[in-house]
Amino acid sequence: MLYSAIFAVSSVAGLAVAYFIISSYMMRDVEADITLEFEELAAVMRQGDPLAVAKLLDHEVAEEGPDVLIYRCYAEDRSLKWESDASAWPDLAFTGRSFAEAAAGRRAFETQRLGRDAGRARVLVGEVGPGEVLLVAWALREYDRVLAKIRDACIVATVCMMVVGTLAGWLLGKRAMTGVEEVTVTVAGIAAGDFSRRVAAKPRGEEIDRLAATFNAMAEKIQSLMREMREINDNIAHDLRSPIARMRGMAEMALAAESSLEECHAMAGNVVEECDTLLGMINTMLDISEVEAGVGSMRIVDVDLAEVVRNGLDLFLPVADEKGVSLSTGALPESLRVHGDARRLQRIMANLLDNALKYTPAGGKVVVSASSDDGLARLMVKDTGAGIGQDHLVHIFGRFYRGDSSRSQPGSGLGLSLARAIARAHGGDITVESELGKGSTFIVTISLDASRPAASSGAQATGS
Amino acid sequence: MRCIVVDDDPKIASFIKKGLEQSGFAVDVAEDGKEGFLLLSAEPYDVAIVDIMMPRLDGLAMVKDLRSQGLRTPVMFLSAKRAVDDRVRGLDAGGDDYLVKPFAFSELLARIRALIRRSTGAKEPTRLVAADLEMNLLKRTVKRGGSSIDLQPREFSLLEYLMRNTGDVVSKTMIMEHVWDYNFDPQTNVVEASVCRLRAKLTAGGGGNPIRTMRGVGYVLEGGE
Repeated sequence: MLYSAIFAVSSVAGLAVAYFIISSYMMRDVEADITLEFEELAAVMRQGDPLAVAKLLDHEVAEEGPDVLIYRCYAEDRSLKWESDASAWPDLAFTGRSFAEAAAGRRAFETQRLGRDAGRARVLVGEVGPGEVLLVAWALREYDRVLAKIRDACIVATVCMMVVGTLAGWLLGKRAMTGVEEVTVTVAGIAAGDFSRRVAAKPRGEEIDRLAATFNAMAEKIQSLMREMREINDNIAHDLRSPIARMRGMAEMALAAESSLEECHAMAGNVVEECDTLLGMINTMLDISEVEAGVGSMRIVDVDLAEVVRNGLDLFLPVADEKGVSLSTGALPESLRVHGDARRLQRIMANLLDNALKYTPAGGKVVVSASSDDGLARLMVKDTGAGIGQDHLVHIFGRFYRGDSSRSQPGSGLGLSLARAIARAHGGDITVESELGKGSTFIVTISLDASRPAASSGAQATGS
Repeated sequence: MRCIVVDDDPKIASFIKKGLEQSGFAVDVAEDGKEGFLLLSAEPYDVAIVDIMMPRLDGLAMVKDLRSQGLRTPVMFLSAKRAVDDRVRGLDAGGDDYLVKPFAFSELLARIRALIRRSTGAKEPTRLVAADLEMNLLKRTVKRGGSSIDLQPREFSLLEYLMRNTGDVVSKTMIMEHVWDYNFDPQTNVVEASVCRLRAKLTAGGGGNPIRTMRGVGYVLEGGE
């Protein structure tokens, strides 16, 4: 509505200005004509030949018409000395202003109404000689007629513009408002707890469409986060409560009167173990949250990824030997420099090796390789272990996910989740290819410079 | 050995005190930073265990002040904060080690023993000796009963760490930190496997097992025979 008003006001102003400019130009033309006539007659009058004056009067009046042009000559006392054909001008009379100006030697223009039906005239009064004041009057009938036409045209144009402007403004406003209003209503629905609400995708105009699309993306993200949170809460509830329940049970048994000192000792030992397990889970969960909080929580330094791989192998080689699993490197460059959080990259390596060794039986192989290209570094851990079923693959990086076969193994199920969070915080991601009974290959990609993740990585997933 | 525990949580202070007394320490307890400052300025202690979050004067400030006064007593910080930045802040304030709560008492004991040993140690040795093991730090060689033992670099570092703490228990976490520079505990028992491998190499030429496992606590290299 505001825009319509502004548009209307400015169009009216514009037309008014045009109208006044036109009318003033036209009036100047009229005044120029009048001045010309005045000068002509004044010159003849000064010659002092009344016959010549009369001849000129008749000529001019005949040319323009007695209803257009009239001349009058007044004496100092304002009495009329002579005039041209005044039949069309019954009420012509003068105010003191023109005479006073004339007496002072100046010429003055004024506009007079000439009788009830005769219209207006522009009048010039001036002193021609001592005791002779000349008055020339030019009818503005033509002038007024043209101006009236112009004024009417302007008014019609103004009205049209205002109508169209108001209508268009109202319509556009209505469309825009509807878009914004829809978004507002949808937001209210989400705020009330219904996270499935979305803004309907109708084309409404570029800006509103962008708003709707962005808003829908945000709503989608909120919904998936809520889903994840609920899932995590359910899992946490179970996985954190179980050790606590066990501890409580054992402590209660130790409190029982019949327990011997050895039994109490054993219980206490088990309680300590469960505490450590629980603490490990909590710490890892905190690690995941911290990593997911983003780049701000990381200490970015120069890291040689090839060195991280070699150190990791160094750490796990004894374990692999004990298990009878071969642990070796595949394609590994002398050095692979990246910019990232050294401790966290160390953690990914350890988690993946831990995982691979856990699920690869004796006689199997684990091969680690690394490479880089296109702004990304790639780390691969390939094992010949139990493999992961297709339906589990999508879940293994979720928090607390333990496949049924692994429920009996120690570990919290958070290792892969943390590894993924770290990879993502480094501008990359983790993927896995696996075949049941054959083995799995875990592929970690990270940006070569974690403080400025590669735009081409395309690995910033929006969902889980 | 005299130890002072500065902690505003009476339960934790009492369990540390009991544990240390059972291990042969004489223990004083201060309830906050101000009291700790007074006691440490007045009496000599072999080691101080200081909680960071305390009312009146927090642990970091207390140790900073004491250090600027010239106190050389080794300090072990205790804190619930795990982040690397917090550890660094602790060490910058003048602490010698940093343990995160909750901790295993055995871990605390092993670490403060290591701190005391470090502080009383003289200049950097070139040789380490424990029972019939002899380690030359310059040449990076190891002999047992006179005959050479071939060790991988990491195995050497592990044995070196154990030998530097001969007779004292070192926990798995301490080994992870000092030998591998990792500050987390992997699920699989990598330390156990490495110690097993080292043991195998040390006993290959005969002789008993010099590295004893203390269940739930850590490992210790026997010194005397």
